[in-house]
Amino acid sequence: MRLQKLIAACFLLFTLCFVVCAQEPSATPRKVNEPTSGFIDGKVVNENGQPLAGASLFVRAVNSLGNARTTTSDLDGNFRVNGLEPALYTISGNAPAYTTVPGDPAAPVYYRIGDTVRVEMIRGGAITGTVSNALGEPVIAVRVRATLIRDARGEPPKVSSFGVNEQSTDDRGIYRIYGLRPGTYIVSAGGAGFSPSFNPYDSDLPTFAPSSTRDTAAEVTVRSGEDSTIDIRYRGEPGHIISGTAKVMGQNGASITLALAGSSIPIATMFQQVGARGFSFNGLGDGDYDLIAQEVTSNPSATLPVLALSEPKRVSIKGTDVTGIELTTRALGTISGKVLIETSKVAECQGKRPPLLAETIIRLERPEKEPDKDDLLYARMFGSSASPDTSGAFTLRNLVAGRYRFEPRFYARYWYLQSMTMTAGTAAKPQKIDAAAGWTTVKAGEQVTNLTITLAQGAASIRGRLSVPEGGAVPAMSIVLMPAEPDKADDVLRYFVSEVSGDLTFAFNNLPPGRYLASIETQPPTLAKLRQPESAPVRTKLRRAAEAKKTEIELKPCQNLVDYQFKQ
Amino acid sequence: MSFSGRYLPAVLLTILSLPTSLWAQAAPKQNIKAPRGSISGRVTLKGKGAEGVAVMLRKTETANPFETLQKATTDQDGFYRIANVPPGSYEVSPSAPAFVPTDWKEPKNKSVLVGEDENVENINFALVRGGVITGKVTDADGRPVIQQQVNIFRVEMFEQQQQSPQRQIFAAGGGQTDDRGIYRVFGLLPGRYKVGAGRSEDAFNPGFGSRSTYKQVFHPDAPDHTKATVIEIGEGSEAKDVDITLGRTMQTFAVAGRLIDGEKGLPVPNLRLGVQRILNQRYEFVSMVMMTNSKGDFVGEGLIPGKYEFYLFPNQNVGMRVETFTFDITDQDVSGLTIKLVQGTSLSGVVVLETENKAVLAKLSELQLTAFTVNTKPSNGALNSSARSPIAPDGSFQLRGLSGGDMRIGISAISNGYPPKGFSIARIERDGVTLPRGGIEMKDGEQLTGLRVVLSYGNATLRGVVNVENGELPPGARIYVRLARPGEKLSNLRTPQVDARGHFFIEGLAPGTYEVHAAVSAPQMQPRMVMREVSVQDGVTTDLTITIDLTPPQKP
Repeated sequence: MRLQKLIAACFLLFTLCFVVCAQEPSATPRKVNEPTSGFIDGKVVNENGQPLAGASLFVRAVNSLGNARTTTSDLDGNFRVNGLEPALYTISGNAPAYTTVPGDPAAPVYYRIGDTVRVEMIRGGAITGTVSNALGEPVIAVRVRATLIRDARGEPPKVSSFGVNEQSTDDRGIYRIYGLRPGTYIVSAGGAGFSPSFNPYDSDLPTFAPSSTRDTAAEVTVRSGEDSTIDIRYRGEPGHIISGTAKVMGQNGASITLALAGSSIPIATMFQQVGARGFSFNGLGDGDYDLIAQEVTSNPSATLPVLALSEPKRVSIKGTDVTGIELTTRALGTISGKVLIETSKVAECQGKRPPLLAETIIRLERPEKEPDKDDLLYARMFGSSASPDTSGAFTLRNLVAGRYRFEPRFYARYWYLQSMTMTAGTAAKPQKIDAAAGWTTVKAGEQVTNLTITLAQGAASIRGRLSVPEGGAVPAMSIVLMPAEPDKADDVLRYFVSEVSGDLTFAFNNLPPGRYLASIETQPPTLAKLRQPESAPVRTKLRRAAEAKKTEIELKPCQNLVDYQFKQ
Repeated sequence: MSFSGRYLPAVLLTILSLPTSLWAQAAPKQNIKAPRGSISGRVTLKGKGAEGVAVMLRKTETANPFETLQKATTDQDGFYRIANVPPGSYEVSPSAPAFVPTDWKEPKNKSVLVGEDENVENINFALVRGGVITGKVTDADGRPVIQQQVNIFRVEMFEQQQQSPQRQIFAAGGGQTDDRGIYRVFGLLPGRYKVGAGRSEDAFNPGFGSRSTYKQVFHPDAPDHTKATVIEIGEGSEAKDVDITLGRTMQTFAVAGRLIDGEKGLPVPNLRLGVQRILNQRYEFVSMVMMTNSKGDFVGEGLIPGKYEFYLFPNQNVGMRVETFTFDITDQDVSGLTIKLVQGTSLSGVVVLETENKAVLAKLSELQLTAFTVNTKPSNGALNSSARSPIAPDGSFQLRGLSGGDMRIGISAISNGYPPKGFSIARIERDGVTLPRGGIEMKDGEQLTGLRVVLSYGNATLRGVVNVENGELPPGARIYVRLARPGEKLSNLRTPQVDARGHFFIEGLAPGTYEVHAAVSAPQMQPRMVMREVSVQDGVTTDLTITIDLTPPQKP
């Protein structure tokens, strides 16, 4: 039991341990004979670009059961992990008192064998102060928590760093929370900690610095490598309890997460053992909360976790305890399918390296606006990608009901994403649905099958430069490519976007052969957005503008168009 | 500064009125009458009543170890009373982290058994302010070492180890350095201490990961404890500038190899392997998991020099174990190892009830059988010799992947691993013959089938108290009670908790005759043992008083 609990806790940590590196994976072509194993190396630097020694690095293969490979940066900040098999890897760093800028969970960065990675770590800031009671005497061993409310750019955090931002006061009532990501924080003492403990202050209402409730909490600015001081006058008012039972399906227990209503960032979590009577969160103030129960229904050591999730439950505390909450976990949906790799007979394409299934991933995309329940953590994290097995079969698991699109990523210069289709209907009368053009709906617990993703050989590329009139200021621009053939206008996989860099160069890779129209846009949508069904009017508008310009490019299979001059 | 105001926030709470049974509303409706039991006592600081101390009550056996049932706060004279306590076994603890018991032999928490509507009085705690040790940890270049564990050892620990070198050293306290390299440990008992940071060969090291490791150094810069400066801590005293200068970090190494099936020689993918470090005669836990990939290959990192042995993580449902394999890490990575999986020792059969009972039969799905081997050979993978198995609806079970040795079979609840209330193993049969109590001697790879594990179920209750005569219990004395079937050397019955007053309580016993062994042990006292036989009946509470004579033994 203890092991299972630990594993559950570990999964939680893994999902939260976000990848931190800002560098794009290299798009450079690889040798035809791919090595069967290799290394990833790199450098750890601090916020001033100076090498950072002694940082721990964790190199983990995506969607793998395997343990993370670990190493430590040397005196020059360098590191290298040998003996890696072809796979997509995420890399995270950890050094005491340092923090990282978390990556966007919606756009993770993957690394492959041969990549050189720069890992940037930022010296964290510290918040320190004294917690005292009404008589000015120290409050000893009360837990103090710093909660990030806005990051250094003034934006609400997407990824929480809970758990680590908690420290207890010492015998003088002094606390010191260090290694904090720069940004704006509120600080509280008492109340339930992120994980349960045996502490008399846990059942109190948290006192927010200087001596108030959450609504009127003082904001504390944290800067890299600096101390911020704020004292707390502890109020010690009793908090309230939310308790209930999670009804589960299997034998692994369930973890219950509590968040402020509408927030995706949990404030506390607890584990309900199988056979336990229920769960209970204490030390809560008046207000609205969301609760969700999550259960691992698979054998956690044998497969990637298969989860069951309860509907989120909104609970209001108004001056009294709330008991008897019931959360019932239900199986989540899956989408399964296969990746096909089609080779071309065109002479130019012979001998070109195909994509490795081990280095292929199918990521999920969701509509931007879904009810806030979708923000509640786990499902999104676990259900965000799948890796095909050696036969190309894959299963996207742990999907909450909703609409999905697919974003395959693969690494082979001369291949392109040709099509994504679902087969529906009966065996006698199969019906092909274009999964690239529309959203695929998954109902609660539904198992959707027969998604076929075809990667075809023959991709072309363009390297070019934008020619602009002399002396003119150049605003940030992007070039949009779209199919020139009128009957292909609706093939969203023929649309591409490339940013024009500072030296006016641009590049397109993995382009299906064919004829293209191009246009320059100052504020183009992202590629993912452009390919969504809702963007059909935008695509039509772009095509009209491009048709008027009459800039047409024809790309033959496996053609590399270099030094292409594009006139504005 | 007076003590009285220190816990004012807690006083403001007055007596917190948590619902007495937090879970009652979530559990199926029962006919619950308000419990009228209570626990009361006094918290004193240097003999004077301590005001405003939160006294917390926690159930001794619970699936959630952090489940606080109730708490109360001491009044101006130090008295507290926790009311509405349901019958049960509890731990009572004053929340006073900067304070220590007046007598260091006394536990800071007390266990208390509360009967139906019983008012338990005089659960008292005599405290004094503990000592503080604080200082800074720096590396060889004078830079602060951050997030470094600092351990505080009682000097006596090392003296005892000198007499019996096998003895492991445990820290009396500890803390972590902050981002300035500063640590502060408070609530220390008066005494003489040595303060160390880093990793040692003969102390208990709780699982090091890949974090950079330093060799243990004692304050101020002593590589071994004999040269450490001793820190004297008196009641409420503070030792400042107890600084430690560490050396260079220790280099760590990797181990790599392939896991193969010992019979077919084929690689075994997706299994979790671990290593444990062998130090003298004992095993040290190494916090590292290695997962074999599709080719059966594994890599593990962060190992400091030493002797290691592989083990397979239990409960992976393969029925195998790794063939004993040790390797040494000296000054480089070790690779190219071939680790063989061999057939584990296994036991299978059915679980049956001594007396047929449909309602009781339904409860078997909440139970599991467990087995572990007491190794007769010194190097036989201490960790891989345990297994557990659920009990299938038809009563069948399979305990697999064990190593050979003296096999012990037990039963526990799936939810918390405790022996289940009401159930015990009456006997184990094979081919109609009852196997000897205690262990079953099994060879490596032996497959024992057709076992019948006969469970008895009952709801008899034994309520006992252990008294002493001809003397008083010295400070720090402990009373132990053990239950066994007559003539049984190794009992698989649950051991009851004996509370601060010598009370114990055992529910869910199968009717029959039992031996109750009671023992008293205390520092500097010869332990005393008494055995009493008692018979219990279903649905009946039997009272038992055991008296232990403390008369000093007559010298011949």
